[in-house]
Formats: sequence, C-alpha cells, structure tokens
Amino acid sequence: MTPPNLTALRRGDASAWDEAFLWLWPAAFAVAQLKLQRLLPEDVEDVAIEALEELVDKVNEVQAVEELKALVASIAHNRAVSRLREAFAKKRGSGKTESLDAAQEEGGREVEPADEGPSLAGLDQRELAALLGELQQSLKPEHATVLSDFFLQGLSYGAIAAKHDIAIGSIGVYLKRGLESIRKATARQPELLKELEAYLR
Amino acid sequence: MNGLSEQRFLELAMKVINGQITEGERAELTTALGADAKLQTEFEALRKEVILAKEILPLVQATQSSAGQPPGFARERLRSKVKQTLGKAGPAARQSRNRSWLWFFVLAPVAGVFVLLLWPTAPSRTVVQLAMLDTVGETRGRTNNATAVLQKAWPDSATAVFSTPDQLDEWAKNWPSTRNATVVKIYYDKAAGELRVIGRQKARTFEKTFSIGTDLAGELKLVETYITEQTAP
Repeated sequence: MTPPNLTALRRGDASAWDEAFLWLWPAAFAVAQLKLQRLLPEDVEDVAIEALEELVDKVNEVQAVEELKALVASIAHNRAVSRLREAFAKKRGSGKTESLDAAQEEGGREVEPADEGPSLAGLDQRELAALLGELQQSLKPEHATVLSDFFLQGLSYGAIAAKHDIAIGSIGVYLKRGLESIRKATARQPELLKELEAYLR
Repeated sequence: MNGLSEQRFLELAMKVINGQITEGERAELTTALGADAKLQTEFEALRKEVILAKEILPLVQATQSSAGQPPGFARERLRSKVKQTLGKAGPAARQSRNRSWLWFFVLAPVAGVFVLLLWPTAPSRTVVQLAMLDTVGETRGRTNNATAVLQKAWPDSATAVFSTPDQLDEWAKNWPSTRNATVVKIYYDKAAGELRVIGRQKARTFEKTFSIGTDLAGELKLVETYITEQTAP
C-alpha cells in the first residue's frame, strides 16, 4: 500500500486520512499487541486507536510521510508501556488484583513484567521513532530475518540456512552485519546505552 | 585470533550467547578468549549487541507489519479526531464512488438502511429515514429479512432500496427541513457489517457507526438507545 500525501494529511483531507489509517493501523496494532498481548490483551485495540489519534496531533512534526509509521509505532509502544505501568501500580497500590491475578493463575505466569532486557521505554517518542526509522532504512530485511530466526526463534545455523536457502557459512556474516546496523543506530541513543549498561550490572 | 578464524569465532560467540553451544565448542571458545584479551573485548561487545537486538527486533518487525484494518467504530472515532484537530474534511468525498467509503473507511459493496420514524418522546418530532443499498445482488430472501428486522424496530418507516452508491449518496444529501423536527438517517451496510446513524437537530449534527455482527435485532436496540440519548430534551 502506498503512503498517502503528507500535504493532504496536514490539510485534514478525509480521504488522505482514510488511506493513512489503513496504512498505519497494522503497525500501531502490532506494536500494541507485542507489548500487551501477554498481560492486557483487552487493551491492544484501544492503545492502537489512541496511538493513531495522537498521531493526528503530530502530523505537522514530520518531514516525510514515511516517518509516520515509525512515529505511530513509537507512540503505540510508549502508550502500551504506560498501560502496563498503570496496571501494575494499581495492583500494588489498591489491592484490586483480580484481573491480573486471574491472568497469573490461568497461565502460571508472573504478573510483574519479566526482566526482558534494557527497556526502550526510557526513550521518548521522538528518540524511539528516530531509532525505528533509522533501522527501517539501515537494517536489511534479510539480516533482520536471520537475526530473528536465530535469536528470537532459536533456530540453528543449519535450520536457518535450509529455510532461506543460504550457505551455512554465510549465517554468521548475516548476523554480524545485522548486529552492526543495530549497533550504529543505537549508538545515537545514549539513554538506551545507559539502560543497557545498567541492565548488565 | 589464537588459532580461531574470524568466522569460527563469530559462530562460537553467537552460539554461546544464544545458548546453542555444545560443551566441546564452549571449551574451544573459552580457551580462545582466555588467551586473547582483544577477543574477550570483542565477545563482550557482541553480547551487548545481541541483548539490544533482542529488544529492538520485535519492535522493528511489528512496525513493518501490514496486515489488518481498523474496526468500524475506530474509523469513526479517528475521523472525528481529524475533523476536530485539522478542520473540515476535504472535498474528495463528493467526487466519486469513494464518497460512500468515506462514511465507512472501506471499499466494499454496501447495503445501507434509512428508517422513517416518529419519535414521540422527543420535544419536537423526530423523523428517522431508513435505506438499504444492495450492490452485490443479495438474494431477495436475505434483503427482505434485514428489511423485516428494521421494519419491526421502526414500524412506521419506509425502506428505500438502492442498487448503486451514487443513488444512495443522492438520497443521503436530501435532508428535509429540521426547523420543526429532528431528522435521523440510519444506514445499514450489511456487507461491511456496519450501521451508521446521522442526525440533524436544528443546527446540531450527531453521528455514530455501529458494528453489526449476526444479531441485527440486538444491535438495533443500541441504535435506538443512542437516538433517544441524542434527541432527549
């Protein structure tokens, strides 16, 4: 789907915004789902809608329409994190734990956020949007795919090579180049690097 | 690299960081790291990069997602937000077949229903108009069923049935005087599973879109409640 015209969006053109919401919804929803599906699945849709609403306020802040996707993802991410924080704060503060405890009992999971690594929530919206935007440009899809298969899916070198018809000897190179792209993008985010150092201590 | 090629080091480092290493491979890497401080530094750097990658990658992938559409009620809410924030919508709605999709944010055959109804509880008369747009050639039975449900909710209504969006648009533009009556148009888009309500009460306009599943009769109760709330004194 092609992005809509930014000038038309700034003008408040209804059909341009119709296109924009169709174009942006998958990203907003997928990001909200990523953060909330485990503990607050009923809030995923709301957060996605709120992220799009907030994006309307910020349409004049971007230079190119392509930036809107990274921005809406960033907004959805931070809103989702806020929802989680509110839910945990309520659990600790008011004793109203039924919904979160029910989730715990149902899944046998801890309801506190797991220690999942340095948090991106320390970045403000603009920083996170800039990071995502840069990675969209610099992280090649094939490198991202191999990184995901290896580090997130836990596939072996052999399995990845077979899956994508890549020489097994090249897997390491794909991983290294993908990691380099991420390193270069995150090098411009001192807050994130501080989080990383704190996490590693 | 103390006997380890760069490729071998990378492979062993990645495997140990990801928990996929064998004992023999671990021993090989440990020996190499112990003998070369630079290699140890490089290994630590890789470890940090992997930690960041695991955090960021899912978000990057989610940002690139392209599946799914906003639900009907969300489209209405977002449209209102655009109007409030950026002013009135552009003229595109009146130009082409897409005009009816601006009402519903989808390109699909539409069925809309407007009901004519007298609403005795309103301070002034309330006139509800009902129409259905059937572009996909629904069987006569199905169209009649939906009409019957609507007729039951608003027994004094007359149902206008249209076969093209242009006809519906023309009908939608045609508003009777609102000086002495509130006029409500209810539009049922069966294909999209949405029912839209637009009302005019003197200078005030109200509108809402309802998602309709299989229970049209049940959803119409919500529509009636909404109209009552909007037209109450």
